[in-house]
Amino acid sequence: MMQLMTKMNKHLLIAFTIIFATVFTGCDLFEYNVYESNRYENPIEATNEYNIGRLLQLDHKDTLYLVFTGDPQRYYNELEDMVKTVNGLPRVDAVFVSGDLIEFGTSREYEWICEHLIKLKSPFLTVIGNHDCLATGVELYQQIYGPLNYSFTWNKIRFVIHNTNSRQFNFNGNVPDLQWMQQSLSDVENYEYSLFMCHVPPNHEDFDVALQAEYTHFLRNAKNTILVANGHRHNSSLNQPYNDGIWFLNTSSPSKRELAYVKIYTTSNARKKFDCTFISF
Amino acid sequence: MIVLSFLFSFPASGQLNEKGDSLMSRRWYVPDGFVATYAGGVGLVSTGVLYKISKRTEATITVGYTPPKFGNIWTTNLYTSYSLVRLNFSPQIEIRLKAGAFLNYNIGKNIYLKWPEQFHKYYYWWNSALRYGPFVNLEGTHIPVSGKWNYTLFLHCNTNDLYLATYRYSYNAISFSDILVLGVGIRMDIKNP
Repeated sequence: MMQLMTKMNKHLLIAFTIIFATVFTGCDLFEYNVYESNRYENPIEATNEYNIGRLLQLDHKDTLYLVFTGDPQRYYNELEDMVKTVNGLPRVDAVFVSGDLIEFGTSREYEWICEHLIKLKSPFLTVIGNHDCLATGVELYQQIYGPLNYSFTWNKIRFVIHNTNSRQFNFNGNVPDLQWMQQSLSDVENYEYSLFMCHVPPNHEDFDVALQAEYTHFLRNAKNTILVANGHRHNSSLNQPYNDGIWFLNTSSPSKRELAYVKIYTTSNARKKFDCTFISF
Repeated sequence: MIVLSFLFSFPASGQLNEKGDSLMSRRWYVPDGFVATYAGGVGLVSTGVLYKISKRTEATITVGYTPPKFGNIWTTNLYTSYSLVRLNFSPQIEIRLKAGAFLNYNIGKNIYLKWPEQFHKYYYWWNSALRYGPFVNLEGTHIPVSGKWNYTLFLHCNTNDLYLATYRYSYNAISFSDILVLGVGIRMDIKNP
């Protein structure tokens, strides 16, 4: 009996050690902190730079088909359905996600949203939202997606994607970065149209009211502004809040099971160069 | 370590002084053991002390640190656990399964116990600095025949309020194992305190 017990102890010890070794070496659930940074192997397919590269390889098109969404936050069930819906649309040239990719600012949420967004067949571009700034979020966003403000020209359209989360930065006068915006629009000879995406719209209380006039001046006077896309409100809307001919598209959240499908006609002489359909899924 | 040495220098209950009289029970603040953990959501490394409340229940207080490369975050943590299952395979080897709850306080940049003033009440409904949740520990303890200490290797598994709040709405898109946090550690505790 003693011999049996000794044999069992030996086997038990071996089993215990194997369990520990297997779990310890093979598992990425060993988290240092919910807000840890620099531990996730960021897929290159999630970076804005990679997706811009995909867009620039496309031939010029007279009509672009774009999907706008935003605020996926912690609604991954609905996000999964949205990805399937977008992948099933007849043509999607690019997907724009207008911020609040995550809810709580944890590192693991940044992994989850990446895992879902890279399932999109089309290139996708993101902007930082207020939730994305929480804890180490600003650092995480930049590690995974890229700069907080960026612009590029595709299909003769200057896309200006920028941080407008003023309240998150305590209304410090630098968010949005108007100097950067001016620079990103200054070379007018290199593009024909402008399209803006941000998270917090300028007529929201979370936008720095001291910068509102100058900011909307940029939108109004940019070269052939097509539209300004934003999120934050979780409700679809398309209107001209300043009655100045500048269209504001507020994107809904996947939690509301609605996305905006926008056709842009760059060859049209009409003032409004797009059609927008809100699709439920 | 100097503080711990000082605390452990106090005599344990049951010992007699040179006159043969019983000494006082160990002072309540003297720990019954100490612990060091890798990961577990409270630091690259965390270390602390444990107190045995009863035969099956104990409380552990730790301090953890995540270095600047990974976030530069300090934590202080409280765990309370109950021993669910104990298997003695020999007088020297014991396996335990424990379950309990933890409270974790995070200290770092942009992590707030109270949201800054620019956020009105309930702008963000959760607490940024405090995390709490359930955990289980699988422990293997070696009880030497002689000596004052038992030595334990343990595997720790927890989840927290934020991950549970996410899983509640996203149980189809993310798996339950996605919201688990693992840690591994060692502990030394006094035999029969």
